[in-house]
Amino acid sequence: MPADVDRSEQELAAALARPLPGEGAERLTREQLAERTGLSPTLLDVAEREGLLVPRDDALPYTSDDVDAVRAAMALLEAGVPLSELLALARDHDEAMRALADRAVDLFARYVVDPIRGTAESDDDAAQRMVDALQAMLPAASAVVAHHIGRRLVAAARARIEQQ
Amino acid sequence: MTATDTTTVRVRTAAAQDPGDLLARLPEGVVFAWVRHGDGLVGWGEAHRVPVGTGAGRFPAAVAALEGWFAAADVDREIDGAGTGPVAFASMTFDPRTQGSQLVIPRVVVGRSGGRCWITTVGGAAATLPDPTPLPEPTRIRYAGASAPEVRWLEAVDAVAGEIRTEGPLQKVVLARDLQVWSAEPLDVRPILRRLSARFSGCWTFAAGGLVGATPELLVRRRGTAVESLVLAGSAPRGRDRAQDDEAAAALARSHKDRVEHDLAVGSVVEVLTGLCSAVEAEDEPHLLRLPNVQHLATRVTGTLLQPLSALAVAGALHPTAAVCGTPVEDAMGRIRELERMDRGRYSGPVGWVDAAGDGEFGIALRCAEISGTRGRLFAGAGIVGESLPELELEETRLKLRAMQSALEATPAAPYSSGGRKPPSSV
Repeated sequence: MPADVDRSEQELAAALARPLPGEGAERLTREQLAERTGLSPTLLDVAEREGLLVPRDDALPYTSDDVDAVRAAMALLEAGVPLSELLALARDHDEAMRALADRAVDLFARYVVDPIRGTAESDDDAAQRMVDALQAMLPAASAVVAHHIGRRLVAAARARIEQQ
Repeated sequence: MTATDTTTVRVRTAAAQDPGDLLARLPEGVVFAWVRHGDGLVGWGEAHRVPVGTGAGRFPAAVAALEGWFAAADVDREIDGAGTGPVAFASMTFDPRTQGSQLVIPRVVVGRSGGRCWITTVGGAAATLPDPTPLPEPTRIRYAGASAPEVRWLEAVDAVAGEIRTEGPLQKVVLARDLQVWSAEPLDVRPILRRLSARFSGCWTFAAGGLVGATPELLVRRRGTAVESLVLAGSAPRGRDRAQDDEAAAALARSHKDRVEHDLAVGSVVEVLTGLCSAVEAEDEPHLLRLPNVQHLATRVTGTLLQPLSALAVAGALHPTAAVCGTPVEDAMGRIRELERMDRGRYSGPVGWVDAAGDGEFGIALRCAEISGTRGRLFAGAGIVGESLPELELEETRLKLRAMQSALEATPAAPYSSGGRKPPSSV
């Protein structure tokens, strides 16, 4: 008998709302994020509207990982990259990554969630296996993507130097 | 302040063969240009420079000094009409408080209008037309920073939009920013002019002592007592095909924000011309002006001068318009001085020419760069109203700067990123 779909999905949603392994455990308010990064109210508004920051929909929308990401972006600005060019790059990156993220979630549903549903012995078993899979896969996927973009950047920089 | 020399300067205008592309005839050195659809004036050398001061009276003082010089000249011409005889090229700073305005009578001016061509020489032996020069290899342009960080500009836009939403009397402020570039070779104004003119043939391509650009906006044209102005404000992108193009135009026609911006700009021109003219008329509804990269709402305003004011004087009365400064003008000027953290120089100031009869044409120096040796300064601005989102205004100025960068280095004008979601406006 297939596991209860609603039940599993509730568990997944709950797992996604909790900090995941590898995600900064500390949850922050909007004000705390601004305070710790020195981000002005204007830039914070812009970063949210542009989709550069993806807040959770609650009173503690950010984490200490967001602090690190904002500080990294500010380091790029301080290094001399104009804000307008950084925003344009981020917009293109966001557009490309959105499509890839959708496909990755689709893969998770098709090749991980569906088989668990078809083989689980009980609702509890199904929910637990899905949450375990999610908690293993999210940081793994993030690590793969981060590693790849890092390698791509280095390769592009090398190619540029060789060209000159 | 007198500009009269002790010896009388001889000015000769001779009929000339059609020179083809006027811009291709410009020799090396200091050049001047005002060309649209192949017609207009180009000039080079410097026969005389009228000093231009600062302050509220700078336009009348410059006009008086220039008219003194014109009156003392001994003019001999084979053909007449606007632009024949001695001609001065003017490029005035945006802010009356800042120095850097230029009013120069070139040594040689070549003109074409309505199928007639002429060459005017000021002093010395009669000039002959130089051979056309081939376009040089494009120069690589490198980024050299900006007068103020873009983050500060973004915050200034946010602050101004907030002030407009919550307090009076500000309705609109045009905020500009710059981008500095350098090149290994000295930057030549002439190929930049030719590329601008080829790409924007419907715009007035201008050059005046290092300032080079192309503007779709006519501040004033004067012929005798007739004056006209073409006001542009409110913009939409060009579509990839006819249907998309028309859709963007229809959205522009419906846009409340663009219509408000447009009506403020037309209102400011009508108000000034009403003080100088009889029979001031503005088109009831704006028409659509399509340029290669953008379409604008445009309104033609005409009038008949009550007194024989020179085109330069009328330009001075109209400047600064809501389109480059804001509404109300005095408050907007104050915010610009506080928030831009840079000197606009001649960017967004009147640029054009005037002849001894007072006829002439002036535009506003938008879509332009200030070139000096191996260095250049590019400018772009955006009209900020209460509904403005700072990141979209920043993106608008990025795209405008990109268009000018590509004219400087002869690269295709397409922006690097597809991320732009807002069309450039005329500023």
